[in-house]
Amino acid sequence: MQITGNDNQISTSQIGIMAANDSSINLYGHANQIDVLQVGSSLNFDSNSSNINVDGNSNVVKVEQGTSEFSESPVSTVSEIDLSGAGNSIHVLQAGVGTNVSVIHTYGNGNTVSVKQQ
Amino acid sequence: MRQFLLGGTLILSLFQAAFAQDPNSYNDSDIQQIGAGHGATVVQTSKYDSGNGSYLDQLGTDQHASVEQSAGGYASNGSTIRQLGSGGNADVKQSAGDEAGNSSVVEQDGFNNDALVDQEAQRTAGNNAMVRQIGSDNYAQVSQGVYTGFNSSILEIAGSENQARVRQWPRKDRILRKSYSLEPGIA
Repeated sequence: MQITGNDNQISTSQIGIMAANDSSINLYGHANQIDVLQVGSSLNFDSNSSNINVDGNSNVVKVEQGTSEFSESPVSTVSEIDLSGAGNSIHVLQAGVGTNVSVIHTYGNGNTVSVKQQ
Repeated sequence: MRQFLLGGTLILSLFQAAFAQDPNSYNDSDIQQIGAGHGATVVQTSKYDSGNGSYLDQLGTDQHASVEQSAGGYASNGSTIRQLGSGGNADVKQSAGDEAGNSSVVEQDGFNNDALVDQEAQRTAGNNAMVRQIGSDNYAQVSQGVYTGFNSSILEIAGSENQARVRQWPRKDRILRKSYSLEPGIA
C-alpha cells in the first residue's frame, strides 16, 4: 500500500486463520495516522509481519501484533519501521507466543518511539 | 445478520486470545534514532525459558531513553543504550527471576547526561551493569539487589564535574571504577 498526501487516516486489520499476515505500507506526507492490527489464529505458522516506511512530519504510526496462544511458530511477530521527518510518533505492541522482533529507525527531530513486547 | 454476529464474535475472540495471553516469548527490540529531542520507551515482559533484549542507539542532543524489562525463571534481560550528544537521559529498570540475570550497558558521550540503572534479581540470579560516560557534568547511578546471586558494576568515567553512585544490596560483590581526565597530563 502506498499513500501520498496529508491528514489521512489509514487502518488495516488482518486476521489470519491457518495463514500468516503480511503488511507493507509506504507513506509520504504529513499529519497522517496509520493503524495496523495483525492477529493470528492458526496452530502453526501464524506469524505476522509489518513493514512501514514513513517520510513526513507529525505522523502517528501504531502497530499491534499478536498470535494465538497455541501457536508453534518460532517467530511470531516482526515489525520494521523506517521513518524520516520530525515530530512523528511510533507505537508498537507485540504479544506473540514465539519471538517478537521490533526494528525501528528514525531520522529527524522530536520523534518519539514506544515499544511494548510481552 | 447471524453470520455477521458470529464473525464479529470470532474476531473478538481472536483478538482477546492474542493480547490477553501470558506467553513464554522472547522479545527483541532494536531502535536507532538520529536527530534531536528523541524519546524512546521500551517495555518488555517475558516469562519462563525466554528473555528480553533491547538495543537503543541515539545520536543527537536531548535524548531520552527508558527501558523496563521483566523476565521470569530461566530467562534473562539484556539492555544496551548508546547516546552520542548532550542532555541525554537513560533510565534502565530490570527485574529477573530464578536462575536468570540482568545485564545493562549504558554509554554516553557528551555533556549533562544522566544514567540511572536499577537492577533486581531473584534467587541464584545476578546483576551486571556497565556505565561509560565521556564528557562533563554527567551523573550515573546504579542500584543492584540480589538474594543469593551476585552484583557486578563497572563505571568508566572520563571528564570533569561528574558524579557516580553505586548501591548494592544486601552484599557488595564488585564495584570497579575508572575515572580519568580528558585533558592530557591530569589524572
